[in-house]
Amino acid sequence: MKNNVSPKGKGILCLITVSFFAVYLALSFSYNIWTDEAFTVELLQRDIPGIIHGTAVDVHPPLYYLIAKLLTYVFGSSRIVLKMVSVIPMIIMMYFGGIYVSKLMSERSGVIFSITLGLIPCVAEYAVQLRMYSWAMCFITFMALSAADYYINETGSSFIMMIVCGIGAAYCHYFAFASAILIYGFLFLAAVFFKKKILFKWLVAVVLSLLAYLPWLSVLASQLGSVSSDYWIEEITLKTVKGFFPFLFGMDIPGSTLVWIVILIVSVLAVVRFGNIKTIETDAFCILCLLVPVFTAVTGIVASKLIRPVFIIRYVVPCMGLIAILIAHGLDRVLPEYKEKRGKQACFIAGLFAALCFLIMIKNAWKLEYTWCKSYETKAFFETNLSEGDIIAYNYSPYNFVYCCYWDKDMLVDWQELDLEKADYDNIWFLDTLYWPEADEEDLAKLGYKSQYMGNYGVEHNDFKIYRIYKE
Amino acid sequence: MTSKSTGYIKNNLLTLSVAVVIFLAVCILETLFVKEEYISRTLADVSKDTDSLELLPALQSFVPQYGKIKSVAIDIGKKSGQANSGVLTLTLYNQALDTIDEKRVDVAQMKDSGLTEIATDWKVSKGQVYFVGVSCEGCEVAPVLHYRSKSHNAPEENLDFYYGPTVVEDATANISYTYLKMPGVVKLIFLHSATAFLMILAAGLFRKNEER
Repeated sequence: MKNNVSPKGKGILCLITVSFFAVYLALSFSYNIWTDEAFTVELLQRDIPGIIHGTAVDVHPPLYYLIAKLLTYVFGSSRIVLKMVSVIPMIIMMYFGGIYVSKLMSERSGVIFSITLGLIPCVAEYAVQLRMYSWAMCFITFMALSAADYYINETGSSFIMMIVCGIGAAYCHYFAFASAILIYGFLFLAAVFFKKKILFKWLVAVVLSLLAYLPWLSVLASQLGSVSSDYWIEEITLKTVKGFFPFLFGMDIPGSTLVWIVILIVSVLAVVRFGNIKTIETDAFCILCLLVPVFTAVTGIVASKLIRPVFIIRYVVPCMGLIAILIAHGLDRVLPEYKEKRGKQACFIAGLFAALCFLIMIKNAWKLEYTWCKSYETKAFFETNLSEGDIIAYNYSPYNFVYCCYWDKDMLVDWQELDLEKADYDNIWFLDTLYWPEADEEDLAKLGYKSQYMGNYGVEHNDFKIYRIYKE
Repeated sequence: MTSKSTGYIKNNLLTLSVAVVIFLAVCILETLFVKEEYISRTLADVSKDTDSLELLPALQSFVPQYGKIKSVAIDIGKKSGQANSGVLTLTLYNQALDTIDEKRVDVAQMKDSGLTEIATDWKVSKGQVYFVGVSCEGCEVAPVLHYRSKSHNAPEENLDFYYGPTVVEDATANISYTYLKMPGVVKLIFLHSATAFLMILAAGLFRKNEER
């Protein structure tokens, strides 16, 4: 049975969504861009067949890039538009996901879900990143909700949504694909043990999903082959696994990871403690919401041990919507209602805690987007010093496509390809990354150049010294 | 205060008192014992080598930023590329070069180029000058210490760098200091509110199981 959502409930969800949207919007004007985002920017400069080909030779499926490309056709390809492409699924999850949770569980669960989703520490970074994680999160969250809805209510709309979202997740990210397989797996087990009549429909859903994925299967096979021979991810050790929790739940405050883990544990205990026969299906669903990310991580770790390291913890970010569902249902069970004994005090303390989490989330996300690296200092430096007739030379050749996101391609040259004898620039601004070919002062002097150290600068994930190289 | 709220407080005095005492005790413990790390380190650059650390020690003078140094990481180079036997001693000296504390590390357990972290747990006084000394003994082939140009790369606290009694010009050890400091006010308030929230959740878990 589904609950109706009151106008007050919708209003609260709207307010929460608008509040988080305002934060994400403020974070979207960042000048910073890192390697994977630069890859996205470069790929989106191609046409649709070019994007599909480009992702086929990379290691991710193409759906996010295609969604982004279609939106750039309508709204242009500025950085803010690309950031909004990632914000859109967050808004969809917070409002419509909140409504869906409200209908399946309770209105208070829906509100807590919406707030928790925005407050989970790792989510804010990926909400505004030029990558597929927020879309994968949206697809997985709605796939899980519609799978539960279909199991409980057997509606046609939930059946279709489950299939569409599963396909969407699979085409967004391979570990979201793994999570989608797990959701189908759990639905299968539930059908086998408790509701055999939906088994046939389950099979139809799986077959349709496989058929939809058929065009990409050969690409997946070739990407698996390329990854098994060489890939960049480091070996997973016990230390790596311990690091999973601060990555997902750390707030740059000592003890904050533990706070979130305790909230998660309390949510599980509350679902079990206060479960009853009327709510057993939603209770079981919430417990399974925890098992999906756990088993996705286990799948990644096992694959990393069997093939080669292929998993890092950010590949579990698409499951954070499921964590928010579990916490929402658990907290709804354990917190007293507002009108109950001690309800007002509990709501006040919960609200205070949520408000502090919100403020700290903004502070940390702001630091990550705007201040943690030297991009803005580098930007200011070049705004002051770079003139027509100057050139920017870099020695870190693999970062060429990243530098193109910061400066005009015509202003950039690889240091190793620069012919200093023929060069006729007023200033050569040399970005000297450590351990890459330097500008030797003696060699420069032979050609009549001088070198002046200008300072330590950098862009995201790349520190460099800037030298001014000029002829006297 | 209304009669309703005073009645509520009277009826629940014991429960509220216990809750308040527990909450205050946890807050005091958090304020006293919860510390956050702050790391100050030399920036990345091309490294140079001292001579052998068995001949003469290397010394880095510094003025600590906080009162507790949880660990110090240093960067040694193993000359022959082998594990090297021997013991490295990390010594904390005061400004008068009196030894305050020593930590001994097996050279074989240390990285060859790259920072090796050594737990120190040193209590120091902010604003005073100290020296970190690095020396080796019992080594088949003694390692060297890596240092970098001071003018572009030195962490805020570093002063002069010495090899033996001699100042090495424009040099700073490749070093990192991990301090423990009290979290800021906002972080402490967050922890206290988290404590209160978790107490509410714990109380909720133990309430009667009523159907909703």
